[in-house]
Amino acid sequence: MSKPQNDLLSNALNAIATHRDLIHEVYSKGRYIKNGSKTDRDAYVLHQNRIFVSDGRDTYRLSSFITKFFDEVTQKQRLFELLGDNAGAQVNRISQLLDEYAKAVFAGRVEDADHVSAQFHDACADLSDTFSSGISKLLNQAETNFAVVNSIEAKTRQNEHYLRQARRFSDALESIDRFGIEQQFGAGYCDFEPLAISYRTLISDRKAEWHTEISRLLHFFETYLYRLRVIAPDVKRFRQFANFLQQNPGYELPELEETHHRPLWMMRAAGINPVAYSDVRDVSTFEYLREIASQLPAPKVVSVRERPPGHIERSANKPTETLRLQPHHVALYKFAKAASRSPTPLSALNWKRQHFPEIGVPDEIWLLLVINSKNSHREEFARLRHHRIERRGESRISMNLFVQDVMVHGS
Amino acid sequence: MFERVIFQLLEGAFICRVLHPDTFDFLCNEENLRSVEDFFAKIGRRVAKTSKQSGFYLVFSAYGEQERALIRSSYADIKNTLAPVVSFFNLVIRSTGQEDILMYGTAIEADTLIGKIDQDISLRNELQSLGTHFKAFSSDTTQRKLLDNIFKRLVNDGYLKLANPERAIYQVTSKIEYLLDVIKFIHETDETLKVGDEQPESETGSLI
Repeated sequence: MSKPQNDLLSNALNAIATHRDLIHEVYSKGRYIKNGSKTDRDAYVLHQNRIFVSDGRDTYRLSSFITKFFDEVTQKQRLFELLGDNAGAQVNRISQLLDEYAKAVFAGRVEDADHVSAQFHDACADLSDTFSSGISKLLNQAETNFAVVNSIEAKTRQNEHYLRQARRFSDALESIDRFGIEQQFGAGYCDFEPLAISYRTLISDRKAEWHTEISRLLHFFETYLYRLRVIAPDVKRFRQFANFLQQNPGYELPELEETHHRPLWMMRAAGINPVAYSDVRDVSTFEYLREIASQLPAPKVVSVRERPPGHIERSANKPTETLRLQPHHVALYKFAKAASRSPTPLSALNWKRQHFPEIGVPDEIWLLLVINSKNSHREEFARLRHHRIERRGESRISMNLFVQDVMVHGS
Repeated sequence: MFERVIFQLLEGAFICRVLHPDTFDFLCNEENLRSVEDFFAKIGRRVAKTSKQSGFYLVFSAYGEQERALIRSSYADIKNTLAPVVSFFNLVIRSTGQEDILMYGTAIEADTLIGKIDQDISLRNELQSLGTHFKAFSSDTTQRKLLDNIFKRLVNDGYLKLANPERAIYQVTSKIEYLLDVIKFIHETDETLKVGDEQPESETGSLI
C-alpha cells in the first residue's frame, strides 16, 4: 500500500476510535443534526474521513458501508433487505477480471497482470462474503418468519421479496456455472494458476454448500408463501367473525338440527378414554401377548435370607464380668429404705455423714442425687416425700436459692 | 406405533407435527393411513384431515341414531367454547399485530404478549373479560396469572402446545384449522352474519 493511502487509512481509523461515541449515537438515532456545540466539529472530521455523509446542510448520516457493517455485526434486521441483488454483478466482475488478466498476460504486461490478479482475489472474497452473509441472513429471516408486520398481506409481500432475493442468489450461482470459469482455468491458453487457487478456495469449494442452502431456502419461502396465500381468506373471515362477536356478544351458533349440510368438522368424534384388557383365553392373542411379555423388564428378585436363632457361647478363656452397683447408688437405696421406715423426716445430709462418710461424693452432689431420685420410677423412691431446706443467696441481685438439706420421709 | 395412533385418535386428539410429530409422520405414509382407516371403518369412524392438511382427527362415518347424541354433545361443546377461543386469538392478533398467528406452528411468546397487553387499557379490559369467559380467575389473579390460566386452558383444549416452558413460548396446533373450518361454515350458512358482512371491499382506483 502506498504512503498516501496508508495515511488516509490511519486517519480514518483514528477518527473512528476517537469519535466512537458519536458514531454509536448516529448509528442508533439514524442522523446527527448540527446544534452549534463542540460536537459539530467532530461530525465535520468524520465527514472529512467519509465516515459520515452529509444529508442536507445541517444533517449528517453514517456512511451506508459502515451502517451495513454494523448491521452485520449487530444482526439487525431491516425491512425488505437487498441481499442477493449484488451477487449477479459480482459474478460478472469476476469473469471480466479473468479476461483482463488473460489480455495482460498475452500483452506481456506483468505488473498489470499482478494487479488484476490481486483484484481477482478480492472479487472472489467479496462474492464469497456476499453469498455467506446473504444466505445466513435469509436463513435467519426464514427461522423468524420475517420481521413483525401488521397484516397477512404485508407478511406475504415480505415473503415474496425474500423469495426474490433467494432466486437472485440461485441465478448468480447458475451464472457462475454458465461463465465456465473453471473450464477456462483448464483450457491451457493462459497460465491462470494464481487466480485458480483463490477461485477454488473461495468459490468452487463452497458452491455445493451454497447450492444446498439456497434450495432449502427456496423450498421454505415457496411453502410459506403458499401457506400465507391459502390462509389469507381465513384470516379475513376470522377477523370479521371476531368483530361480529364483539358487537353481538349474545350470538349463538345455530342448532344442530337446523343445519342441513354436515361438514367434516361437525362429524368429529370427540374423545373417549379407551381402556383395553387382553383376553387371555383367545388363542390368536397369544403371539401378541408373548411379544409384550418378552419386552417387559425382568422382575427384580429379592431373596430374604433368614438367620438361624443365636445361642450364648460360654468360653472358658473369657473373663467373667460382674455387674456391681456404684457405692453412691447403694447409699441412695439404703437412705430411701431408712427414710421410708423413719417416723420423722430424715435429713439426707446427716444420714450420709453418719452412714457413708467415705463414699467419696461431695455433699452438694449427694443432695442433687437425692432430689433427682424423686423422678425415678422405682417404687422405693416414688413413695418418698421431699422437703427442701433452702436459703436465699446473699446477693440481692441474683436472688439465687441454695438447697442446704433435704428432709425425706415416707408417705 | 399403530396402537398409539389408534388410541390418540380415539381420545379425540389432533395429530399434527406440533403435537405428535412421530405419529403424524406415521399417518403421512399412505399405507399406514390405510391400515388405520381399515381399523376405524369397522367401528363406524374414519380419519379426516384439517382443511390445510396439517392435522388428522377422527370423525364418524355416518350420522345415525347412535352417533347423533355424541355429535350433538360435541357440537354443544363447540358452541360453548367458540366465542372465548376466537376472542383470545383476536386479542393476540390485536396485541402483537401478527395475523399469521392463525397459521399452525406459529409461536406465541407469553412475555411479549403480556408486555403489549399491559401497555393498552382496552387490551387489559379484554383480557379481564376473557378471564370471565374462561373461568380463569382465582383468589390472587394478576394479569399475568390470568393469561397463564387461559394458556393452560387452551393447551388442555388442544389449540396450543407449551413448546418452551422456560421462556413460556406456546405453539399453535393444527386444531386452529379446525376452528377456521367452523368459522368458514358459519360464514357460509348463517344469514345473521351476512347482514354485517356487506361492506364492499376497497379497491385501488386510478388517480385520474
